[in-house]
Amino acid sequence: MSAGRKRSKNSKLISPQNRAAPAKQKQISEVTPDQVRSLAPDAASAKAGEGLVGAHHWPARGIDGNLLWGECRGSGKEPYRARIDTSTVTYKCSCPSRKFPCKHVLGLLLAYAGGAVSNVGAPAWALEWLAEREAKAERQADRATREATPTDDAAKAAAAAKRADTRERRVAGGVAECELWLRDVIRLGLAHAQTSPTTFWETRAARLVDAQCPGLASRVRTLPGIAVSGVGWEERLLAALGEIALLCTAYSRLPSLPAPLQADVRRYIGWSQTQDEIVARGFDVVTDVWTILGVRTLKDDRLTVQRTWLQGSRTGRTALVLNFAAGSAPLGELFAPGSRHRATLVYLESAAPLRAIVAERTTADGDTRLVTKRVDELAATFAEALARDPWFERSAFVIDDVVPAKSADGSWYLRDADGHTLRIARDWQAHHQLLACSGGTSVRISGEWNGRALVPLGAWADDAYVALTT
Amino acid sequence: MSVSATWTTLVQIAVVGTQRDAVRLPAAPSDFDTIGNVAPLTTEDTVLRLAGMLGVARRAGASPFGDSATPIPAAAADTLPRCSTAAASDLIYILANDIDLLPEWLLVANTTNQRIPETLLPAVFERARGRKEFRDAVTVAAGARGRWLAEQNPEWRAFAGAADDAEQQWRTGTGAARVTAFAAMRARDAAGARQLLERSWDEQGASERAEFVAAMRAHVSDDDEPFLESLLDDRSKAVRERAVTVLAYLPNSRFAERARSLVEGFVSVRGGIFGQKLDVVLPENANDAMRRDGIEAPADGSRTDRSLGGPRAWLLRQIVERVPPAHLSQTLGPRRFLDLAADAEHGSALVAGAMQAAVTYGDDAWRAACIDFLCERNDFMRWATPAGLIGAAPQPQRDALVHAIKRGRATALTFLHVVPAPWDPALSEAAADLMRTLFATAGDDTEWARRRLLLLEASRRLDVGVPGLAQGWPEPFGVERTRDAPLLFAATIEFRAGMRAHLKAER
Repeated sequence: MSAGRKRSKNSKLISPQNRAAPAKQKQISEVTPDQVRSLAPDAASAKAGEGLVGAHHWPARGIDGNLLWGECRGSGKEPYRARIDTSTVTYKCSCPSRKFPCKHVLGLLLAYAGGAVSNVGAPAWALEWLAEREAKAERQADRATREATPTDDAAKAAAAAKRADTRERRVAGGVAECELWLRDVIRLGLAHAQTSPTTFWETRAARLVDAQCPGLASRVRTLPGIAVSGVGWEERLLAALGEIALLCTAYSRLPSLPAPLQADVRRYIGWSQTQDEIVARGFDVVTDVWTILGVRTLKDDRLTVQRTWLQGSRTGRTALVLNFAAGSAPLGELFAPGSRHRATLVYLESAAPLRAIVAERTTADGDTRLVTKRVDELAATFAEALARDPWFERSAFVIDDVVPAKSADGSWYLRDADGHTLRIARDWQAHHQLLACSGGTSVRISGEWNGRALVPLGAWADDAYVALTT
Repeated sequence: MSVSATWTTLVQIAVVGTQRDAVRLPAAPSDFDTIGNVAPLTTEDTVLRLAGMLGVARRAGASPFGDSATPIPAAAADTLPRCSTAAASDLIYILANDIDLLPEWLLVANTTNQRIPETLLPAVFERARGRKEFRDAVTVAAGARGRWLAEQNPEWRAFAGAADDAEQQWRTGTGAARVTAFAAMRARDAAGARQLLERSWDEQGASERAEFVAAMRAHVSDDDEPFLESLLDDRSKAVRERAVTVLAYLPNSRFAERARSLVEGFVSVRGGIFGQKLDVVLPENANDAMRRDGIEAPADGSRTDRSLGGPRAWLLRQIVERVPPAHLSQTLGPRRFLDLAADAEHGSALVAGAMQAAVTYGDDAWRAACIDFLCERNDFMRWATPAGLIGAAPQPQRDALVHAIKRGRATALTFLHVVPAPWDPALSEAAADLMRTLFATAGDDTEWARRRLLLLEASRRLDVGVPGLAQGWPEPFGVERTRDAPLLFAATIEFRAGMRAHLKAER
């Protein structure tokens, strides 16, 4: 029933003998070295990975179906064992590195992308890993099936309903408290809030976490930063408070909202869904050939968030796939920017569907078409999304025929053929990479637009994708 | 009331707070009638709800237009074709791992008229920045796009090609860009550029002055001598030091003349035709006049090369370095002088100083003599051979070096690294043969580490056209830590052969 399960079943049928089928081999080696480079967590890892491409570093390596494996000579006595499932780019390496992927995985992938890895049957340690992964996926799928079975233990169902009920009551309490707090902020004035100690905001955020409203809590956590963000802070702070108030009001009137918007509100408050639940809900299932418009990875001390933007070639739909990892733990499935994949995506229920999960993916084939927007169309599309979902944050677009431009104060812009300009986000750093691609002539670029500034993600120079993230 | 007027009022109210004063709330714009649906509302609620709705409306209506930004003028079209994808991959590898291979990549790309792919330009500029030896080759291989790109970033200006506007940069640029501009002006009109610097000397920043003086080294001539001489009395130590290094290229300077009269007090020829000897007296210490010319005892013992004696020998060596070598050997001739010096007490300082002088003063006869001397003595380690000696050596002396290597003079290998890459086939073959022999013998840890370095260095410079370079190496060899040397050697040779093929192959 679930697409994820289908995949794991299929791959389990593949035995080491028939896995090295030539057709399959051809399909997957479409990974390009540039795509591999874009997977590197930082410049140092990318560099180290490049250094491990040479065959002399690898006393043994090979590709066995989708299983890429290698033993890399390291400083220790034992070689490091790297294994990669090329169909999903999941990987494991025995080295102690805290970088994911580590240099061994990158080096092996680069060698593979460069066509330097030949068909060699995988050794036991690599096959075991693959088998473990498949068994794990199987177990998860089984669990999902069991949980979804109507013959489920009635007591369990009752307990779950009770938990849901408790949470609903806690959230209602948290939201009501939050509304009171918002009134206080407005009564005392933004100037007063600005000069308040950090505990003023932190206490509120902590209370919201206790009330199981993590979404609201993280919105409150952004407020002290806005309060000290310089010229125009009052407007930005009031707008942010207004959004929170709007969310609280929406929650208290939840039943009167259309179902998709209800799902949005619940998600913004902090309810989350598991992959299985999203697949089971099947709100909006789209199979298409997806182009990866770009990948942005944002890190703080606790969490790494990876935003992967996709655009469907047949449907023209945009999708956002989020990956999270605690600390420096490895991220889940990775897509190389600029690559294409045939995949089935399941959108999360929303009034302006954007976030999705990948239910099934294979390798792409054939040509793809990109939907491009002019600057004015981009603004209109964004406004439309906001009309459906007032908390809509950002989306990715492909913009054709823009040239880099600079204003007198040194800010960067993109200018389209109509003379319309888009401001580029201040903290974006890859100007010279963009200039190198463009040469001052018009290029096609992809970027993240949040209504205020554009964060360029990639450019197409002579039809080859170049990542513009730093 | 319009959205923007309502919003402005709302912000004013929110900043001071609703508790202050009688608050006159703005009416909601007519489209926002939902505000009345839920009643009754407190003042605070009304403010918050209006803020929420107007905030969204403002985000939705925010115009991305209107900012006046000027497009960057476009680059000229490139006439050179981009190099192949395989060659680009090689370049990425080089930038990440082995920058010493960059000159070879650039050389082959430039001789086959190909350019660096535009997407790699920023990475190439970043790595080649501040490396003068790469500059010209990078500028050519960067193509029109690259030179245009280099103009957009002050730190990359060196790769922008012929700086037509050097004067403009000199007047308005900053830091490194001005030094580059000055160097360009020197290349066109050395005297004019120097006069410009002299006139504006007091206006230059303290940190830039020393850089300008260093930039005078190229195209230095006797015309520059009076200015450089005056800089020996400059307040800044950095300026004085740079002036000394530049003066050392002018054999007719007062600076050289002083060194020459100074050296006569310490070195003299004794005896007749058959029993000639050099008498060497070491200076006691440096006086003020010597210090003005940069001749100083080292602050501590660290800078002195122990094989060349103590601080006093160091002083002598510094004096000799400043003497144009032709003056040293007037009656003896270079070769005879070197032989006598080698046999004299404290002679090491003399030989080392003379070799350095032969390089800086660009004396071909002396350079040739130095190499002959080194080959014959088979002792390349002892004299602290300056790098420029071999690099710029005349062809017969390079041949002599190859010959020395062929005869198994192992120490000759130690300064092979100063022969510019790529080596010619004869030298490559001789060096590889000698190394194979050398590596078949036992050694201790340090010895193996040195041999490993030597081999890796050679792997970047040998002519990869010589067949069988990667073969015939004993394996395994050396101690644990150095076992990878033949592997790495073979990998580099293979990479370079592939790189040349990728650049020469059909695109």
